[in-house]
Amino acid sequence: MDNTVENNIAESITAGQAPAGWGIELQSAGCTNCQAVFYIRAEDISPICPRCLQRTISPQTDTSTDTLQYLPELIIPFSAQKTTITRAVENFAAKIPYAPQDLNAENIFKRLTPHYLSAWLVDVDVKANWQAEMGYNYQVVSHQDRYDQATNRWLSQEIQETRIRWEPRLGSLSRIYPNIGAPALDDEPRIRQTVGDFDPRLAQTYNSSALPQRVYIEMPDRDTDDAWPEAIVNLHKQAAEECRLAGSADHIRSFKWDPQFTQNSWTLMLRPTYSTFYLDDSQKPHKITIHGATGAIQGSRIASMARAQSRALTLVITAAVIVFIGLLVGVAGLLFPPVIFFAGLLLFIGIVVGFSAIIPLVQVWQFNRQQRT
Amino acid sequence: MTDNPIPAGYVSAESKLDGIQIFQPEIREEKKKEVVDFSCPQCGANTAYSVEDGGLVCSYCGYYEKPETKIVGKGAEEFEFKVETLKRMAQGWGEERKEIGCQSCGANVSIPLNTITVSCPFCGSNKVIQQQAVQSDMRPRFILPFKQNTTQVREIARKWLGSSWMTPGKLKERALMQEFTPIYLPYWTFDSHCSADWKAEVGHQVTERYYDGKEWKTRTKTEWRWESGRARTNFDDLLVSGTNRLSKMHLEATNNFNLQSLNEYEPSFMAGIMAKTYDVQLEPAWEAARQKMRENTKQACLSQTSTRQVRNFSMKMDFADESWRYVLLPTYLAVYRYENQPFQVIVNGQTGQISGQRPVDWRKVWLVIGLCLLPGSAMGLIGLLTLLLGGVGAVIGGIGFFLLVVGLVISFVIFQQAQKMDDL
Repeated sequence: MDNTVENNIAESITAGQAPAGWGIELQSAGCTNCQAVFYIRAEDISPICPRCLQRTISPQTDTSTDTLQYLPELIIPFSAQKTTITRAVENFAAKIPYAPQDLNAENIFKRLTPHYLSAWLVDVDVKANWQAEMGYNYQVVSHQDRYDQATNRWLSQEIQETRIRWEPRLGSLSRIYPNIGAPALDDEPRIRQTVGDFDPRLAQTYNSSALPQRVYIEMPDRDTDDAWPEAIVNLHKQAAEECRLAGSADHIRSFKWDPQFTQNSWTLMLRPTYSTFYLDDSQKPHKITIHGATGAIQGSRIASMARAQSRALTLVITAAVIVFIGLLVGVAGLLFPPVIFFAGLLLFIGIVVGFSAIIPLVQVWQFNRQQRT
Repeated sequence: MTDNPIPAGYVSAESKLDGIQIFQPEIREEKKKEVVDFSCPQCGANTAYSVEDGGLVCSYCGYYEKPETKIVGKGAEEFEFKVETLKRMAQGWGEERKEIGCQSCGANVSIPLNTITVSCPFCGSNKVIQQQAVQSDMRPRFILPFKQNTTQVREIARKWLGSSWMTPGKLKERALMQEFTPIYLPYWTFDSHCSADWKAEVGHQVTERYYDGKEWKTRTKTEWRWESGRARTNFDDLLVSGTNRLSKMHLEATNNFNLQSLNEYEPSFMAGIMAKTYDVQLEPAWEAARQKMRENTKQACLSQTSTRQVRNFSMKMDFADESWRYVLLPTYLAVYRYENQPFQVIVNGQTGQISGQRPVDWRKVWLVIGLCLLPGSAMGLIGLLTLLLGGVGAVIGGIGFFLLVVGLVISFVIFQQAQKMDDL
């Protein structure tokens, strides 16, 4: 975290302890602004919330909240290379007209905070009757012919096309689906939109040694009852895919079922991100998120209107000076007519420079508008 | 997992994952008897399909049975050019033979695998063979029943024999018309949507003025301009014969079948009637059909040019939605003898369209050609004589020359037609 905004209050927080199953001593801290709850090593606690970037982290002595009792089962390690992240950060900070003073790769990089986002995992026994249309690929032969009068010959080319034959299927299903994912954070749609998806194939069995230093683990703010309907959606997708595999089909559509579920256990999967930020003209922080596995970066890039205004003012003053000199030369021209030409030239240059003062303002306005859309 | 009962109309299918049961719709393959014997349920005698009555008839007791079938017309199922089908088709019928037992007399009869209809050589009973083909698509699925009976066909043939002045005068009376044999011939039908992009240099006649050093003149020259376009052609049920054992020309001349009357395959239609399986495979037949489609599409492209004068024409053509059918279509084959020479005739069993060989009376042909040339030659001669004597010979000679040219053209056409008829 930035030393200028960091305030070492670790000693002052007397936070609650994470359950022993985490394999490491973690303390809970909550944000009074966005209500996010984190587990973090006691010595790493900073007052800035990695979610809302406000200085509103406060100790959470009560860890009896239901959602804080669940243990992690899977973890996706931070696997994005440092070079990948560096390139992403440099690209992010580059090519911004009149970038805010604080927006540079160095600042963004030194404020990187590892931030694990939790997601629910549920193991479910499913019994269901199902029906679907299964698609099987087959090849057909078509032709493309060419004729040229010069040779008076037809050239025929055989082309193979893949088509799908759809067939109805139905059946029953009795399977155990382990680790079906469901969102644990209310902010999940925005996370997916900004950071992108996390590949579950990268997940490993949780081990506390995989937790990097200064990591914030954002705990669920949705309970399992809230998450269950979305787990069912994922179950539906997985069941459809398994039925497709069972039927040796290439495609499946219109999958319908009448499932009966037995929920066995709920655990957590931790997904890696880096949080960082920059300050705009008004010292308001803007969040940047980096995908911990792919290095994909996301955040709003804001150009500085203050810097643009400053540049515009400089140009206006320069123009005023040139016009003034031009007027003086013009007065001199009344006495010595040949310099009238130079007076006119100076006036013209002054007007051009004066009008160009609008360019920085338009550039910034347009850039910020593009970023918003 | 306890196995669920199989739903009605479904059968269990293989599942690649434990805990998932799969059922697929039961494919109701008609349990066809390998050999269908046609014997009268009343008297036990043989029954056969009667074109006049449109059903199975017993010639002994008069028993009549109408075939149970439905007209599917041009909506009859069509098949795609699946790679799998084409591979299997390449295997052909092979030369295998199969032994079948006659249910009427108990004799064993050896038949080639591609036989569809057969009469027992011992008791004469009619049979239709329904054994599985190398691939099921290759057994006929659709059939067009006979509409013309033998009497009608005989009358059509007699009229046709007397319809040309080039044939011998007594041909109609003296031709010994042998039995007309009804036979179902194999045909392939093909559908395709074709689109072609073309480009060509098209010639335009332009008139220009030029100065030849003394005066202004005009001349016409051809100006070549590049043109391009796209033509679309649709082909629906383009017929290609499935046999090359008969004259391709006669088959094409008689293939004006109306496929709106296409029926689902029903063995009764073939009782006592010969039927032939294809000997032209699907791929060569499709190649022949594509050739026709290409030529038609080429003409469609050429018709889009702004003038008829075209050079450097090229086109690229795509076939789409190609499909095919294998059908049996009704035909009569006959041979008649004239002056101990055999001549072959083919008649469309549905429409009565006829084509075949006819002898040419060359004496008649040469006589007519001579008559055509006579006026021109005679007037030319008269013109020459009167010219020598001094007078109006030039005018008569000119008219004679004109008539001679006309006579030559007519003679040439007559000769060509006679030659064509003789070559059939």
